[in-house]
Amino acid sequence: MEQMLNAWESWSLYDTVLIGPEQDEVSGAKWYTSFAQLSNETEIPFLNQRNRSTVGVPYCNLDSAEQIPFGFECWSIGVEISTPPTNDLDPDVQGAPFLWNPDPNYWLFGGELLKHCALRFQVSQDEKLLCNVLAAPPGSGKSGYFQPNIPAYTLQAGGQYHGFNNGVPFIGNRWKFAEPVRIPRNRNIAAWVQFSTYARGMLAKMVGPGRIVINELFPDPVQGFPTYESVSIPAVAMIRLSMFGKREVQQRNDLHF
Amino acid sequence: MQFVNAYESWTLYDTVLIAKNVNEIANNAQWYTSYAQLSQNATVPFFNVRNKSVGVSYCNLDSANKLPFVFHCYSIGVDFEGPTVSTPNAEGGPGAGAWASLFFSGELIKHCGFILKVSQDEKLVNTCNLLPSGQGVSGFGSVLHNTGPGIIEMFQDVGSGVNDRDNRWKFAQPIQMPREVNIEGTLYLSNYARNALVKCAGPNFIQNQFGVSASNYAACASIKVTLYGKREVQQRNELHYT
Repeated sequence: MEQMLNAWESWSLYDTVLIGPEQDEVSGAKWYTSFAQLSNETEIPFLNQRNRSTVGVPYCNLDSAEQIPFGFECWSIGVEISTPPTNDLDPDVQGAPFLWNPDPNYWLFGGELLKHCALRFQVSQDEKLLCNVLAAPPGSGKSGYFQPNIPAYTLQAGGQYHGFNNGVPFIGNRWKFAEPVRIPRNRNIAAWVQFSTYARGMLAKMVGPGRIVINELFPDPVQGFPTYESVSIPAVAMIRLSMFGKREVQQRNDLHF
Repeated sequence: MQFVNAYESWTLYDTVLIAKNVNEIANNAQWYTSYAQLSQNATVPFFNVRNKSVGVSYCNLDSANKLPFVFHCYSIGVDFEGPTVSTPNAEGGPGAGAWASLFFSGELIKHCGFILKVSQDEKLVNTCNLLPSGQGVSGFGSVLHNTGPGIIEMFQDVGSGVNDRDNRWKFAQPIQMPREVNIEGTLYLSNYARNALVKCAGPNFIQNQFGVSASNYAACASIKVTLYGKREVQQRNELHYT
């Protein structure tokens, strides 16, 4: 009988929790509508809740929650905690639609929260990693620079940009296992991001994520500059856990030498 | 006589443009004139729609669908590029479109997924945020504050990940693509991404002011997928040591 051969393929496993208005309406996603709602949790689970059919491949690529259908060698793991790069311009939150007050909520979520979170990763019942989230950067995130102009003649501030990431967004900048974590086929895996009491207290007092304005305007009541209708969209913050490694699958359609 | 193929470093790339004047750039490229038009699609195809006839700045495939040579793919990257400068002459008013550009290049990528198939086999399923391209503008611009109503200028080179050539998703073992095999990349836009894009104005126009006259040109956003690797081709014009 011909020998069965499996092939190794580079692969990633990832799962995402979104926090934003209406996100609790996504069936089966177990996402959150606000920072305050997230603060009710002491920890949030990953890799055993969602799959690609319930939330879509932008957020999760697991075929089924809990079990993976192939052997997987995990070489690295990372956690991304991010918000939109702009500030929260929700009129309901800010009190005035175009008063661009400095809004620290996104800064706190993207730049402060991660210092007070832990990551725990288990295969079956075995704990394979327990560390502060700062020790497991994702290797992804925002880069670059944004320069909004601040017209001196207006009464409005000019908006803000932040580029907070968990570490430098370079793909190799992740927690690497010295020896890969070998996960057999159909094994249960799970990971948790755990919040400290400090983190939960901070989240409970944070407003938002609210909405962001993507088509801004600069109304100037002093000079009678024409005003324009602005458009806002729900803002979404996210926590994404990713594992990079190799999967073992039946050889398909390769160059068979 | 034995046939010998030679390996050559090669890249395959395909680009979707979003600009008001895309129809003037190429015909049948399946590009988009606005973010809102892009939002009408849940998926955006790559590598099986366009070929180099749309311009080698955007695509270097000899033909859509099939590769004329064997290709060993070592890495992949997805690049979202918004217009670098603001679009002050937009229909939506001064400054309109600038935050839309920031959203496009800095936020949208987190809400997109990508699947690469060789024939019908999934070789990659990943979120675009974990597929940095290693490409992008670096540096920064600066603007003076205005003292009167008029142009609201902005500059942005926001992207995903460090613009370093090595910052890409690498395959530990190269994906081997036989000659004439179909390859297909599909970008998936989440519902959140589509609902946001439909509200984005633009890309509108970039306004240049030289002296007293002003000129406008359509601003352009793009999504580019690149594969880096080696192709196998007949040995040509090398130093042949025998």
